[in-house]
Amino acid sequence: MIVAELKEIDEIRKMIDRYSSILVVGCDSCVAECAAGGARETQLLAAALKLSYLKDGQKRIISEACIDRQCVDDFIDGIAEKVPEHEVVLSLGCGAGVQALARVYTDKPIIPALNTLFIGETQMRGVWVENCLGCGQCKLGYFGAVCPVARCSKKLMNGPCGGSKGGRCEIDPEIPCGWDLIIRRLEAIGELDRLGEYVPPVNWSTSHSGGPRRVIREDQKP
Amino acid sequence: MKTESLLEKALESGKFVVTAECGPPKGADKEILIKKGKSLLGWIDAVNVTDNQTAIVRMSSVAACSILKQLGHEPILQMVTRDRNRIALQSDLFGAYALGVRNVLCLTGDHQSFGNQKEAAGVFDLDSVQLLKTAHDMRESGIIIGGEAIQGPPQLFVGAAENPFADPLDWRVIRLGKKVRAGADFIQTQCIYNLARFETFMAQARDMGLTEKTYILAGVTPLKTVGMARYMATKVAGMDIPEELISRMAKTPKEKQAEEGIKIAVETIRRVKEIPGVAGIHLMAIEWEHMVPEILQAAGIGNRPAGVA
Amino acid sequence: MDIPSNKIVVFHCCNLRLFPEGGQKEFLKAWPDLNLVSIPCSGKIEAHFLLKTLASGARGALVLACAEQACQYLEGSMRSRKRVDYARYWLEKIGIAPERIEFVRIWPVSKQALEALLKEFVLKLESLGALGAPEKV
Repeated sequence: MIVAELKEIDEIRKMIDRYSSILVVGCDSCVAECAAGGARETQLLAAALKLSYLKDGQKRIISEACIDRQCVDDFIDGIAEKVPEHEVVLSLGCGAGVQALARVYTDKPIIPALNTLFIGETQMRGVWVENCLGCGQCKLGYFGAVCPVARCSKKLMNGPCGGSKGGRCEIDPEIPCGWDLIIRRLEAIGELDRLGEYVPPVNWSTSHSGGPRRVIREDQKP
Repeated sequence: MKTESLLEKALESGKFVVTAECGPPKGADKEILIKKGKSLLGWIDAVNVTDNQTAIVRMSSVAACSILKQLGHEPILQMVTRDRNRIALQSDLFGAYALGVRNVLCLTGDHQSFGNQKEAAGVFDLDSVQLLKTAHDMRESGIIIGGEAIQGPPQLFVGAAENPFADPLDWRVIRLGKKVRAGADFIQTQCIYNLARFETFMAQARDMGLTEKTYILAGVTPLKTVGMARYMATKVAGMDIPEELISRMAKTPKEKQAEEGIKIAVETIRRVKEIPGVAGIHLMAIEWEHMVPEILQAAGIGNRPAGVA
Repeated sequence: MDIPSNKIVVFHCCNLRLFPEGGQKEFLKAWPDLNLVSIPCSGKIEAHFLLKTLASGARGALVLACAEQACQYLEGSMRSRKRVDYARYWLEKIGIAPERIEFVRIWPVSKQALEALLKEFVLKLESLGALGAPEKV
């Protein structure tokens, strides 16, 4: 899933203060799972903004809506009636959602309420971790299903580096050393032999380094 | 001889080789570098020129190598993959060689979060092993990454670092083997304080036949104060300083601590010299380069005959 | 934005049985500004309910929970505490006194105890003044 975090309210206010009517729109998929932009957070932010303007003695019309996916037109259509009634849309979608709304509602300013962070998993309630960088050529099969690109701070393909201590990363003891995880996992499944081989430089052209990417499937097109 | 490197020549001669680290200045003042370089001249076989170490912006390693070369030093260009992609790294290998550099030490580098440019993008296009193989393949096959032939491939003597003290411990010597297979002609280790652990590492390396294939230079860093010892033990990544060394420094009166630190370094040099497979030492006297001659003399290692360095 | 009122909303766990001997009607007559909202467990409370309560015009919100060990749903009373803290954290960020949202574990329940804590809360809110006026945070 895409993991995101709500921006500070002061930063949001700076971007929306110029508008008199605001439609706060949540996205009930990825960013709901990470408690950043789902229905709950949409209500929370709308209420917080109301209180914030009340405290400052300013008048604003603040409405809210939540759709299942801000990155798919069929769902975006769900707010088609509400959007024209407001000067601005404050999106609690990820970066993809914000831009999809802007593509559909061409004459409407769309403001992000979240900082989109990473592709990750819910490790436990309240803890989300990054484990995929979307490099475009998954090599997890060689590394015991632990990604050296996403989970090593230095993206080492021939790790670990000299800073790994007690299974922790040198840059922050809160971060588990990705290479320590790789070695332990391969050891556990009896495939440590996979690490003896030199791993050549990564072909980053399939990652964002190759420019903005797209996938086209003729069989899926209308 | 694979190259024209004077470091290779010294190592091949079988004598106990000494390299030392020389950190370029935080700025463009080359006089600082020249002063440091002069204090080392005649005492060492080659000088390691660090590449923005601990991610602090400093004079470029290639430029500093060239300046030290003009002084009469045999420079070892340290290169980290943190700041440059493969285009820039390979280009700098060409340039450095054209300026007379004959040795390169391939490193990944400390993460940018340690330095004074914490907001920088970490490049990490290659890792240290891949850079090592790149420099090796330039020399052996005359190609760059991707296999394209080049005009005048740099004939570099290629080194790598290894940390015998990082975790997982048993993995360190396996990784050393990987580096040797990728083409490491020489290895410089992390600073050694835990001699027992280093002896185990060397025994493992000998068992795997790695000391036959590469030259291992043992890293030594003199401690200046007990504060430095504590700082390195707790704050510097991949450092293993046994508690008894720290308490030995702590028990020493403040004004005598530098002297004690040097004594420890000298003892370390004497001990690693006796370990089979150790080809020499790599002295990293951080911002203390002028102490190198004194340490070497105390360790019974004389200065280098003129003409070698 | 609704017009600020004198309303105080009390969310309470239904298992607390605030009026074991009856008398809720009389009690509410004596407290005309009070809105009692019974919820299945205090753990059902969410930060956005609390902010919405204030944004809808209430001057304060109070969450009454069971003792941590007494929660029928094991973790509910512990969770509601965290959610109230989160709502208060938001108030602080906005610049509104976090004391406008209060969390109390009440045990044993008695009319006297309930009245005492409500009186204390009302006094607190009165000292803060109307919501929307500059707050002393």
